[in-house]
Amino acid sequence: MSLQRLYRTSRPARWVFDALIVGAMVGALAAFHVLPSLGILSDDVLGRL
Amino acid sequence: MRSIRLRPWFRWVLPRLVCATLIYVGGYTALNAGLSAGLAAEVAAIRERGEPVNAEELVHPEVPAELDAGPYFRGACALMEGLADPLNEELGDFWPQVVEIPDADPVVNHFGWVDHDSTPREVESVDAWLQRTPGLQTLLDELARRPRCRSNVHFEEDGPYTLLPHLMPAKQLTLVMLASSSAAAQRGDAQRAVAQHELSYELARCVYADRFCLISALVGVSLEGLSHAHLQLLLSRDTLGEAELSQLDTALAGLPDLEQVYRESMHGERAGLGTFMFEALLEGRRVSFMGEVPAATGAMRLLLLADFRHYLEVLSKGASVPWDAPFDEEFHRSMPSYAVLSGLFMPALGRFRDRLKRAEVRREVDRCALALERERLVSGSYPESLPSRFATQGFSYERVGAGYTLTAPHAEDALPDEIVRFRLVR
Repeated sequence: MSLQRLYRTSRPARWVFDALIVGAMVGALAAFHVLPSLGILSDDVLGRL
Repeated sequence: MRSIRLRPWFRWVLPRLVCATLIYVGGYTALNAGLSAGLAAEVAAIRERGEPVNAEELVHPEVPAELDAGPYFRGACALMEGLADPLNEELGDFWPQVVEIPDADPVVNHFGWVDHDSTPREVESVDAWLQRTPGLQTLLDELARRPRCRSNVHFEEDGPYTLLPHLMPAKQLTLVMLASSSAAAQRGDAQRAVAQHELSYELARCVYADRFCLISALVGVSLEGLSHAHLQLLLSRDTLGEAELSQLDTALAGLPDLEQVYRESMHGERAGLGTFMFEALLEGRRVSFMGEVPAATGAMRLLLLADFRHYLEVLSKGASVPWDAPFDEEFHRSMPSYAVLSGLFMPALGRFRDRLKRAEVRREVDRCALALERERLVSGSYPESLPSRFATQGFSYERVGAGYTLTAPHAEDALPDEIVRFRLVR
């Protein structure tokens, strides 16, 4: 059974897939949010601490 | 056509995206608020104790100009910095030290000056050089006349990278003063010998005046160590009378209280180094030695908030334990995994406390040696046992020839450097 079919036919599977997708979105949002401060890890800042 | 094909996809993604955004924003806001509140509580507790929180609050109290040795100290250091090269050219690389020379002439030279490569050196030329450089001696004499010293070190701009250009010249000046004192003692000029030796204590006092600077405290301790070594040489020469001994005792008693040095250094570390750096990283700021530091966002901010709180907790705990009480350094081993910067900014508290304790013991041993010397002037020889007021401190006292060895209590496995000992050789 393909994943797509499983998603369409099984309610528990849909919940699991949705949770994974939402989790991935939260991860992506967290990654975008931290992006502007990655400069802290540069040698100019962290290297001079 | 395109909008019709996109619609079902969009209808599927939108609620999930909204859900993810709500989860992230809610979670982040809650964590940020919780961690910020914890941090604010820690900062409030520090303020309640009346301690400085950030670099702007590290303020040196005002000192009336006529009592302030600071300008003369800085003037002497600046002059010494300019004179260092001519001094090195004339007298060789000037970092000598006083050492015990076991097989030296027992009457004159049991302690002597050696160069950094352990070759013996004479010090008469140093005194001669100093007398040819009157500006320096005048500044130092003015410094000695003033009982207080106000530092001009400010941490608010550069935090941990604040320049301390006076420390190196202060150490060189101390060596010059002690060498000059040795030369005077050699000539039998007790007054100058004591005045120059006393100046080494004055220089240490001015270095300690930086107050919130752990590095300055360590340099102050190291200057005291040089004076301790030299005092053994000075007393072994047997040139000092009652008046000179009292003068040295008063100078030793007037050195800053090391408990205060410890506490203020901890406050300075916390406010001038840790808080300065964490605030710069959390809020984003221009820092002179780093350029523009971006403000931490997202997970980085949460991590820094937790790390900052841990740093404040540990350092406050370190500062609150009396400096000479046993101190459990367990926290160094049990750092949480997020405490990356805490580990980087944390001073070696245990080692700092050990150094201060040794400095305190050195002062007591030196004062005990001065008391023994006074007793000898009265009775003609050193006592067979230690006077009762010093015996209670656990010093071991052993007569060796016409002199003695005085040793402070120490652990059996103590390294030679960790043992505080005063040898007087006649």
